[in-house]
Amino acid sequence: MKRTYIISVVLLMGGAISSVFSLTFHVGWLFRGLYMEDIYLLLIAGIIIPVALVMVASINEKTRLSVLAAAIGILIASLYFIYSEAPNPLMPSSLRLSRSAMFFLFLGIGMAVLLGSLSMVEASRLKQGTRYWMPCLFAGFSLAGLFTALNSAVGAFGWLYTSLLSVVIVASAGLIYIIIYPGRKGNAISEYTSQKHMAPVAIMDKLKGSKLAIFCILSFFNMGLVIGLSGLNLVDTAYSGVTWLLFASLVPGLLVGFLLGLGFSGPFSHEKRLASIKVQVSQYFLIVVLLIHVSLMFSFFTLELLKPGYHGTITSQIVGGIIFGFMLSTSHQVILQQHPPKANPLYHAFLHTWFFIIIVLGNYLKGIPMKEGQFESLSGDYLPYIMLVEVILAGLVLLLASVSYLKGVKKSAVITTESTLEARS
Amino acid sequence: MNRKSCKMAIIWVILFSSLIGFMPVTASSRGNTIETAQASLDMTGAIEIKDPFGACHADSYDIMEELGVKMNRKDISWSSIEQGDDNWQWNAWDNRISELKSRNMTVLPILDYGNLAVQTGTDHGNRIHTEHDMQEWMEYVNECVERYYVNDSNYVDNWEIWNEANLGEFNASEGFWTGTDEEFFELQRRTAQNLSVQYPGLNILSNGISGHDPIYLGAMFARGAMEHVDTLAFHPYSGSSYDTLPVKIDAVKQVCKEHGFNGSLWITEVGMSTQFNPDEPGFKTEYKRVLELQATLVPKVYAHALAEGIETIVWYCLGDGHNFTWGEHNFGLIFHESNVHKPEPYDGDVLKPSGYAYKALAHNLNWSTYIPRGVKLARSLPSTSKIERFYFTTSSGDIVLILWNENDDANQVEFKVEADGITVFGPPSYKEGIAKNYHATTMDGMVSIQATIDLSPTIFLIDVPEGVAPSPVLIQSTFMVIDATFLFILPFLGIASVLIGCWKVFQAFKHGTR
Repeated sequence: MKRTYIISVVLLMGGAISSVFSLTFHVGWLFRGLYMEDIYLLLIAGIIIPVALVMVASINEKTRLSVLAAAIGILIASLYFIYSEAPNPLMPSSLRLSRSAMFFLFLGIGMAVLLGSLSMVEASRLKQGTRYWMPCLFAGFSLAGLFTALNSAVGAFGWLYTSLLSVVIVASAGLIYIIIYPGRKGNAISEYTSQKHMAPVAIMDKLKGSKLAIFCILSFFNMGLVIGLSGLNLVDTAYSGVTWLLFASLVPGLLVGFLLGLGFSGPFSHEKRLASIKVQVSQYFLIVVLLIHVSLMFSFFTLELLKPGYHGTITSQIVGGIIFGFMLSTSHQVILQQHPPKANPLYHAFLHTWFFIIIVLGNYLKGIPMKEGQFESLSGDYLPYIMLVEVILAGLVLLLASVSYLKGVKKSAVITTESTLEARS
Repeated sequence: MNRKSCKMAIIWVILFSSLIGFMPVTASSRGNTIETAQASLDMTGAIEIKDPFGACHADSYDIMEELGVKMNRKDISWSSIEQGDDNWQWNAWDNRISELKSRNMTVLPILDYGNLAVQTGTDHGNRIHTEHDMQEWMEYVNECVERYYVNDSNYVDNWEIWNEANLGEFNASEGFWTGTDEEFFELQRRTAQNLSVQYPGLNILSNGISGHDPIYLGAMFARGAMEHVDTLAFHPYSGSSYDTLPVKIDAVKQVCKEHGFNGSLWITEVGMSTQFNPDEPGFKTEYKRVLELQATLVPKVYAHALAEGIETIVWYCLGDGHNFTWGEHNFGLIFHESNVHKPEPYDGDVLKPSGYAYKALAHNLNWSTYIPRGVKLARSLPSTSKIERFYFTTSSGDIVLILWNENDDANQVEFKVEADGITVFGPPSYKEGIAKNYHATTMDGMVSIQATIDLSPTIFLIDVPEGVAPSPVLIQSTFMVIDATFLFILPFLGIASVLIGCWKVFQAFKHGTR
C-alpha cells in the first residue's frame, strides 16, 4: 500500500473523528431543550440520512468515495445555515435554534458521524494493507484527540469557531484523501481487497460475533460515560477552560494502550501462527483488556463521584482523557484482531456509527441539569446499577472468551497430533 | 509538472488555506474615506417605545429615580396584606405607592401566593383549589385593586396574577405553586375574569412564567387561562448569554399566534446573578469578570426585547442582598451596602457596572423610537452579519446606536453622522466618559467614529443638531479572516472535494475497478 495513501487515511481518521467529538461537544445543552418536532428532525437529519448513506457507501469503492465527497459538501453547506442563525459565543446552557438551523446542525453532526464511520472503514483496512496498522491507528486517534483539543481551546472564542475549525479540518483531510485516492487499476484498493492478503490474519471462531458485540457495547458505553461524567455539572466557563485537556490527554492513554497491544504481540505475530493457536492468543489480549477496562471504570467512578473536590478539576480531565484514550486504542485493537477480514465495510461503518452515537449520548449526559446536591447523590442512585451492568457484561465476555480458548486448545491438540502422525509416516 | 507534484501542490494549498482559516486576526481592507448614508430614515417597521424600564423588589427609591426606573414590580403577597381573616395591613404598600408617586414612577403589583392564615383547603405550600379559598382569594384581589386603582385615581392599573406558577412540585411545602397546573389555570382564568368585568380599565398580566416554556404557555391558553388576560408575562432567563433572546421571544409569539392572542408581551423578570465566594483565593478577578459580563447583558436584553416589540422589561432586580454566595441575592444593579469585597475599579461605587449600563439606556430610550432600518452596512460579509445593530431616535431627536459583535471578534467599524457631538457608554464599566474603544473626530458638523466592536455592546449617544432630522448610519467594517474562510476556503474545500471525488469515481468506472 502506498505510503501517501496510508498518511491520507490517518489524516482523514484524525479529522473526521475530531469533527464528531467537536461538533457534538455542546449538543447536550441543545438536546435537553428539544421538543417532539425537533426530535423528528434529529431522527431524519442526524440518524436516518447518515445511516442510509452508510448503506450506500458500503456497496462498493466507488459509492464510498462518492458518499465521502458528498458528505464533506453537505457538512460545509450545513455550516453556512448554522452560522447564519446561531450566535457564536452562546452555548452551552441557553441555546435555542430555529427549526431550520437545528435541522442543519443535526445534518452536520450526522455527516460528521458518517465521515467518522467511513474513515474507520478505511482505517480498519490498513490492517490488510500494511504491517504497521497499529502505529497508523495510534497516529489517527492521536490526531483526533489533538485536533479536538485544539477545537475545544478555540471554543473559548465561541462555539461556532469550534465548529468552523473542525469542519475545515475534516474537509481538508477529506480532500487530501480524495486527491490521493487511487482511482485506477493496480492501486492500493485492489491490494487490500485481495482475500488472499487477508486470509492469514483471520481468526476463525464461531463465538467471535457475540463476544465482540457484547465487548463493544461495554467498552463504547464506558467511553460515553467517561465523556459524559467528566463534564457533568460543570459551570459553563469550564468548557472553554479545562475540558480541552481531556482530549489532549487521549494521546498518552492511546500510547499506553498500544504498548499493551505490543506487549501481547498478538496483533502483530498471530498472523504467522496456526489458526487454532491464534484463537487462543487473541483470547489473552481480549480478557486482559476487558479486565483493565472494568477496573479503570471502577476507579473512574470512585474518583469522580466519591472523592470530594475531584470532579471538574484539571487532574480529573487528564485522568479521564487517559482512560478514554486507553479504551479507544485497546478496544479497536481487539476489534481489528478479532474481526473477520471478509466482513464487508458495512460492519465497520455501522459499528462506528453506533460508537459515535454513544459519544453523542455521552455529550448529552454532560448537559443534564443538576440541582444542588444531586451530583453528590449520583453515587448512591446510579453507581451500583452501572457497576452491576459492567460486571454482568464483562462476565459474559469472559465466559465466551473462555469457551473460545478451550475450543482452541482442543483443536490445536488435534492438529498437533495429526502433524506428529504425518511426520512419523 | 508531473501528476505527483501537482497533487502535492494542491495538498500544500489545502493545508495552508486551513491554517489561514483560523487565524483570529483581521485583515484591514477598508478605504481611507468614510461614506455617509445618503437616504433619509426608512421608518418601515418602526416601534414606538414608552416606559419600558422596570426593576423588581426595589426599595431604594432615590436610586431607582437616578437609574431611570419607571416601574417597580413587587409582590403584594396575600399573606402580608391579609394577616388573618379580613385583617388588612396596608402600611407597607401605602408607603411604597406614596414614594413611587412622588418620583413619577408606577408599580406592577403581583397578586400572589397562598395565605395559610385564611385558607382552609390546604395547610402547606401555595395552592388554591377549594371554593372557600377561591372566594377568599377573590376578596383579597378586589380589596387590593379597589384600594390602589379605584380609590387612587386609577394609579395602579397593571396587575400581575401570580409569579412563576410553573415552578413547584405538586403538594410540596415549598414552591411558587404547589397545586396542579389545571388548578392554577382555573385560578388565573377566574381572577382575570373577575378583574376584567369589574375594572375594565386594568391591564391584567398573566402569571409571569419562569422561562418561556411554549408547552406550558400552550396549555395555559388551551385551558382558557388567558381568556381575560391583556398581557402575557414571562421570564426568559438565559444564564450568562442572552444572544438567543429573540428566538425565545419568537417562540412565545408563535404560541400567542396559534391561540389568536393579540395582547402585549412583557418580560417581568430577566437578569443574571453575580454571586461570588469571598473565601475563595483570588475571587476578586472572577467577581470583576462576572460584574462586567452582567453589565453587557443589560443593553443586549433591552435592545433585543424592544426590537421584538416587548413593551416592558423588568430587570431582576434592583439591589443585591447580603449573602454573596447565594445566587438569588446577587442579581442586582446596585451593590449591597455591606459589600466590602468590591473589586477595583468598582470598590468605591454604589452602582454595579450593570447599573451604569441600565442608567445609560433608561435615560435615553424612554419614549424613543426603534427604527430597524436605521443602520445600514456598507457591504454584506459573513462577519458583518454578526454585528448586532440597533438604532433608536430619542424624544429629543438624538440617535442612540447600540452595537456589538456576536462573534466576539474585535471588528473595526467606522461611521459618520451629522452631529454636534457624541457620548459613548462602553464596556467594561459603562460609566460616562470611560469608554476607550472608540475614536471620534468632529469636522464641518460631522462626527466620524472609528470603534472596535466586540461581544460587549457599546452604546453611542449621538447628539443631533436641533432642526436636523436624524439620518441613517452607514457602517463600514473590516474584511475579517472569517470572511475569507466562508467566502473562499470552505467553498474551495467543498467544491474541490465533490469535483475531484466525481473525477476519481469516473476514473474508477473507466478502468473497471470496483
